[in-house]
Amino acid sequence: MVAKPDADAARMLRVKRGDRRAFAELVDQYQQPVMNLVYRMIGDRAEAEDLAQNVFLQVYKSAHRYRETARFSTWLFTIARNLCLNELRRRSRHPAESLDLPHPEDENQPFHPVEDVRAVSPPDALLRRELEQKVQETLDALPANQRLALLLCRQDELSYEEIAKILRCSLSATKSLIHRARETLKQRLKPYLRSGTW
Amino acid sequence: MATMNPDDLNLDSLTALAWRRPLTPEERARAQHLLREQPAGLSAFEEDQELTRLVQQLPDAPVPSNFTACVLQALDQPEPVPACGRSPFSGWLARLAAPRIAWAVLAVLLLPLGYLGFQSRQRTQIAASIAQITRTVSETGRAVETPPLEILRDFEAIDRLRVANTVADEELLAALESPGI
Repeated sequence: MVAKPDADAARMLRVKRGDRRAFAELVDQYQQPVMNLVYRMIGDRAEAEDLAQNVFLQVYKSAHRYRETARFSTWLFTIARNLCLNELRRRSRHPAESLDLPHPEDENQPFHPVEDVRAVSPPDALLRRELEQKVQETLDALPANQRLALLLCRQDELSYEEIAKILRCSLSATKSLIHRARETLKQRLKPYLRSGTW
Repeated sequence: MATMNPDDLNLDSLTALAWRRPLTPEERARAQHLLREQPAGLSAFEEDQELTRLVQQLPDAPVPSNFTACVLQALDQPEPVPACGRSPFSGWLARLAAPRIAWAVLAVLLLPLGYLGFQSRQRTQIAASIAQITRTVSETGRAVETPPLEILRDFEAIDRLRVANTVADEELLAALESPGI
């Protein structure tokens, strides 16, 4: 879709020639978005780290197959998508309890292990954490393709056309997936949705 | 990415745009203008905006500070040992080959057993046939009576007659055929 080569594509061409510094730059730049996507898809921190690492290893190993016809981020998230779906399929075949997910009896275990550095009063922080947990639970309940579409939609740099390419479906099907996901979220999170902001 | 003129956007387009990113001040103004014209869509639009905010506000997943170093280190390592006790012989190859290999092993195990069974059955059948023949022979032998010894006394003379001269007696035949007889 993108005709002009972006800076990441140029870096990727250097990676193709075996430039590890260029690869490290790409990892530095994309580790957070990839980790966000993988973590929200898988829900297990340790496995998400392994999977995100595998995404970048796959990028390096498949560098010879990269073509400049697509933006680097599209190619990267396609790899991330494939690995996430493989992992979810593997889990459905061999279900196991995650060690990272909070146990119902363990109420002191925070869902997100990283504390927010912004100054928030304890009750607000508690409410926000509860809300985040609710949003995550609702996301987890979505079918994998809807969840993936919605999470890719969070990535600022991806257009709908690129999301469609990553999901390997048409533009209209992609918008439909996002719409359905959002409608489900709206229904389930209705009590948490404030109005009057406009 | 090419941005459209906000004045050309309708409420649906602005809603879809807001799913992906915060609206620009121009787009926001356009949305407010459209919502003043269509107040019925206001609550749905507000709910949509609020949902976007909730999803966008999900905190970033924690990334270890040495993530890049770990990835670079992994590049130099040989093929990683599969996690969670998974066999290295996994994936599509295993899925494809495993049932076939199982059937082949089963066939290899069953083939000698089948052959031994077949041989044993054949041996039993042969033994039964021999027993049957022996029984028949002994019964037949009892049924046929041995001829008396007097018959065998002239056996040699009779046997010599069987090999006697077989040349025709032409003179005797001519005499028998003469009209006077």
